[in-house]
Amino acid sequence: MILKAEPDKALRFLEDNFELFRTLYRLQLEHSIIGRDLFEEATEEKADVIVKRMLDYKLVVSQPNGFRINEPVRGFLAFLLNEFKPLLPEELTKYRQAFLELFKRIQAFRDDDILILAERLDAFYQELQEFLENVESNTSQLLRNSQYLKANKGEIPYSERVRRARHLIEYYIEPLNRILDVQKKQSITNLLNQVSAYVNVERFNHPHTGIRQRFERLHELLREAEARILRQSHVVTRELLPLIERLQTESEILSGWLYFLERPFLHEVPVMPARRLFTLTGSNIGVGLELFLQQFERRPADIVLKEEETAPVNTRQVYFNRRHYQQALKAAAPVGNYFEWCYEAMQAHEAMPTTERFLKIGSLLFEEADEYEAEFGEGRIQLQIESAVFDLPVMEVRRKAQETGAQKSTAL
Amino acid sequence: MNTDTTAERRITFPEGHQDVVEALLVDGRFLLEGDPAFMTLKQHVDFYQAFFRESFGLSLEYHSEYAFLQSGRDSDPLSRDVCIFLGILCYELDREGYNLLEQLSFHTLEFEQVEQMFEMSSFREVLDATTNLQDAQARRNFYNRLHRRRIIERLDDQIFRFTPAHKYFLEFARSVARYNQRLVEEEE
Repeated sequence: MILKAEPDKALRFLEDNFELFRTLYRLQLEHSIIGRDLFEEATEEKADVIVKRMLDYKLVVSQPNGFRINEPVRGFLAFLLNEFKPLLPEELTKYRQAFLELFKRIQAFRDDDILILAERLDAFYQELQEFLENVESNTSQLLRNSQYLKANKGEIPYSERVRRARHLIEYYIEPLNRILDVQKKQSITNLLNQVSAYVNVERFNHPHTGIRQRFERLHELLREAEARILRQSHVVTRELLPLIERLQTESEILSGWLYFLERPFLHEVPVMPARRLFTLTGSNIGVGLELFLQQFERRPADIVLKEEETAPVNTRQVYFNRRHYQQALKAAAPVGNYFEWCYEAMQAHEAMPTTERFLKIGSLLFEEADEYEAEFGEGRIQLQIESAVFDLPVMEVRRKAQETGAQKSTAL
Repeated sequence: MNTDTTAERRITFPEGHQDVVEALLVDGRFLLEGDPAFMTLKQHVDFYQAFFRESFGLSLEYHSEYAFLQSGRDSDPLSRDVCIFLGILCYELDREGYNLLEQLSFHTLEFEQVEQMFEMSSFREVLDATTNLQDAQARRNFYNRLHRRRIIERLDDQIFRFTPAHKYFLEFARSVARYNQRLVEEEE
């Protein structure tokens, strides 16, 4: 009870400071109670007298850990601002208990005081009104919460949005659906249907006029309730659930792409429709043809290589024909002066005699040491090849006799 | 399949058979609802499942809004490009506050607008590494390929819209998310 002001004055005060009340209401909505620091922050720019009046008029009450907007005022502000915390379905199920209890008592009424029956009917009517209002504000609030999540105005990350969407579905929307679902035996709607059937009979049968009128009034509300609950149930199934589901789908798609884009070139990808050129031949023909063609791809390269080499190269110049000299030595043996023979053989066979060639020919003897034996003779011999002059010993070379093959005599 | 047991067995093919085969097999494109060939396919799904399996060893992927032949190849470079393209586009659309599914399913998009998103995208590195998406010229060719495969429909030089075929890739993204979600849950 407001002791320090007339009711209309308190209402005007509320009007004058509506912005402040809105701020306080939102703080309370968020935190359940307005902490002292938050309260001071909100009222910082207000005159002290305003804070004092707020408390004097009991629009706001002080509590040990902060402030609260007085409950009737809070309800009024909630109605004005159309901002609520959605009720947990558990909070709504208390109505079922109340309905059930009242219904039982009304049915059980025999010869008691007629007044208590009238009061119970009034109470039922009152509870039902409250229930309907709560359900309606609840669905509208849930719808708003879902839309807020959907539009992502708060720029909440995907995983968080999915979590919140799941939370809404699991704890609010699906239980609410169960309460409203007339098919479920435990639902409030189902109970109200039973009440409706009873009330429909009693509004004609009851002997007392006043009670009949009350039954009649309740009957009307129940009929209206049916339509209103059906509407809310539709909002839940047609709008809320799809909205939340779509939100969940969208977030799932986005987080899926983000996972993919973390390693876009390593992640597996979906199978695509592939183009096939239409052929009348078997499936192996392509591979076979490719193999067949590959051999031609290589051949021209080979030919070019050979042509380039044959033209300028003189094989006699390039290749040391070891076999030729071996045979010549074999035919010439025994040779009186080995190095002179080498010189002559080289001059006869090589187009361009060089020291390198001469040394190669000269070394033949040592490679064939098994077959030949050599003996140093008297004197030396000078040979000039290119610019070098070789001073060489005279050496007689002859083929080894087979029986004396084990004995080797090597020179140098 | 209708068979005739007279002297020789004769197969009669559904009307529009050639269009179905050309679209699915020769063009390798998505066949879309609304396409006359899709109607043919829809009425003879079982026949075509068997036809493509028996004739070419390919499986027909049939959904309510689109159909295509699975290539049987493990990895298709175009598929990767499409995934990267759609992934980045979805991310950018969401960042700019569009309703993603609505935008992709029901609205047209401007090439110019998409180009801007890609130019400014924070996934620059990924784009640079993707030959077919790295610059405006490459993307123009890429749009043509998407159009040929019926993933997008070019309405004119400026605007296009996604065909229902894009849902195939969105489903892929969802499966990736679910798979990763399961991994996270298992770890916990």
